[in-house]
Amino acid sequence: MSTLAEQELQATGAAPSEADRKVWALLSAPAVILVGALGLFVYLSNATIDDSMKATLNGQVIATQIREHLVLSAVSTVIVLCIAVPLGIALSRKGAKVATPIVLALANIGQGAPAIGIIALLAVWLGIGFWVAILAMSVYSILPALRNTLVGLEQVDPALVDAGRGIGMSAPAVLFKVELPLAVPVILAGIRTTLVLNVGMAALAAFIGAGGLGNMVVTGVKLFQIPVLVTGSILIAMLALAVDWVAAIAERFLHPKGV
Amino acid sequence: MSDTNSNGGSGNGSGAQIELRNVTKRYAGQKIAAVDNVNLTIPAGEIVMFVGPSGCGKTTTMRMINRLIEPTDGEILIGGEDVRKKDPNELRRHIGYVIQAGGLFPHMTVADNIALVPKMLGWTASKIAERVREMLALVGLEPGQFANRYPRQLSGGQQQRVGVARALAADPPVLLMDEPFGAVDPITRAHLQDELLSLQDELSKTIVFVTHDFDEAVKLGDRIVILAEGSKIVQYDEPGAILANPADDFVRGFIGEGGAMKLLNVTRLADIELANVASAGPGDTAAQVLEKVNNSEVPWAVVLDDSKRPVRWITAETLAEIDGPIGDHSNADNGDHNAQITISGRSTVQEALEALLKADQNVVPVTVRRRYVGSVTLNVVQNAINQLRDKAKAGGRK
Repeated sequence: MSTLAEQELQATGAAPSEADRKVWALLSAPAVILVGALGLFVYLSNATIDDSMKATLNGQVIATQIREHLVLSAVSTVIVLCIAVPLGIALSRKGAKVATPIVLALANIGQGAPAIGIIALLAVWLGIGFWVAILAMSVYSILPALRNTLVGLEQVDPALVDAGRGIGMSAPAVLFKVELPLAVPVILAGIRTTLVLNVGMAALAAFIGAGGLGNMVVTGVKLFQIPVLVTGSILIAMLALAVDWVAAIAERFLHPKGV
Repeated sequence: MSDTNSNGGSGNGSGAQIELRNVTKRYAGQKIAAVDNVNLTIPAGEIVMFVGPSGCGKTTTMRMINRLIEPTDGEILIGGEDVRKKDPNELRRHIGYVIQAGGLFPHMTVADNIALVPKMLGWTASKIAERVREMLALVGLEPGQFANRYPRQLSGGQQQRVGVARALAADPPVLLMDEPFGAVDPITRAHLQDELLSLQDELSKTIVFVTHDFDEAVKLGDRIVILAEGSKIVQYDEPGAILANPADDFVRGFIGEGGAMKLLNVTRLADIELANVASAGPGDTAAQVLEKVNNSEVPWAVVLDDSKRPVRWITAETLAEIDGPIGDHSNADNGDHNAQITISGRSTVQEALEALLKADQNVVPVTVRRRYVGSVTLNVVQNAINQLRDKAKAGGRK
């Protein structure tokens, strides 16, 4: 028993240091964002900005674009979740496993194709606008969420599913009380990747008139307004980092206890 | 034991009889049946061990009892009721199920794991909480210390204990155990086996226990079923009978080397014929005792005290020197000595053999409730083995 107690002491002793390490990892993203913001501020203070640039580089316009950007990312992510998680669950069930390679191949095409290609093709086919952008983003970013839902459910120890059925839990009860809770960390990691992909892809929505921070990049390139281009690019990068950071925190709190 | 309780009522504590009639499992696309026409009656309240090589269908046979696998053909009755007439989930809630490493859900606390089945059966929260404490205490884990831990924070043996507690939580009459102690170290395994036996003394469940370890089967089983390919029953008998009289070479191979030694390990001294060694009280006269000694196999007598406890050994030479009552007369030169080593009638013959070797003498007194009942010699051990063999051959149950 004494050795057991020792092991436990070591285990609890190890836990805080591991947690500390994670706290540092979580703090690094805001630090980078802060440095980026400072850099941008210093750059803009020293750059020559004419009146036409000021029309783009004002707080209200930027705020609107950030909002648009976030709405694009959020809506497409929610749509992906509503499709990928149930689809992943369905594909992980017995009997549906034959369909898994086909569905994964399709999702792979979505991610394998260049993002700009998807968005351009869909615009040619369906016209421009918000929902076409959302569709393109969803096609592009569905793979990580879908694949991780599948992998997350597959890596649950089959003995636990057997134990659940063996003590009289119904199949849905085993899914919702055992399999999904244990798959949560992997599924969340997939969702986080999907979300970050969407934030990046939302920058391209500006090409088909769906708004977002991509507008600044498009304007900057078209009118050769380097400060606008730089501001747009850095803001997109910072937004992606920030969203990833929030997702990382969410992942940490949603992680099942005891695992 | 089998007549104590043969009804199938659930939650009444003790075990129910399990009966397999012509049970067959055939998987689609396979020519040979995984389980081929098995007929087996498992008496209520006994531990029956399924032993066989891997792939012989022993686990499949067990899993058909709680319908984790549906039989292709045949009937399975628990306490006289056909399991296929019940809802599978409801059925399984009344059959304890223990797998390797306990099968605990890592994201639930120990208490939540144990509470699962009572919750599904709709018990009240207070009754469940009480039951969880009771179960933890039953398997030797302090409830206050362990209830709120997660399985990861327990050792392998502790996890296995919680697994047993979870299986027993709703007090099912039948317990299915699928190689439960396969993943723990040998010392912990021996502990868990001992604990299971003492739990069973208290609970008298009907336990079906799958293992590939014949020694485990001998140690735990009231009966052993030896299964070959297709779950064919090669031999079904008590461990002693199988060891003494293996049905064929397959069983002999399974018993392995040292079958006779294993037999010694399942036979108790109280159940065999002991040596006729002269015994004497301090008041007996030397002449009387000497006469008894001359009629016995060994040239000594064991001297008992007033409560019939063995005290010392006295040789024929010493007895010849004494006139009248032997009293506490002793002559170390003749080889008289104190009876330091005695052995209880509850000990196994193997333990007696060890005592004989350790004692550096050819005879050790056997006591039951501290009273002398006879002695054990190497001859006794050998005769016991021969008799067990003869008995098993004559009985020839299969």
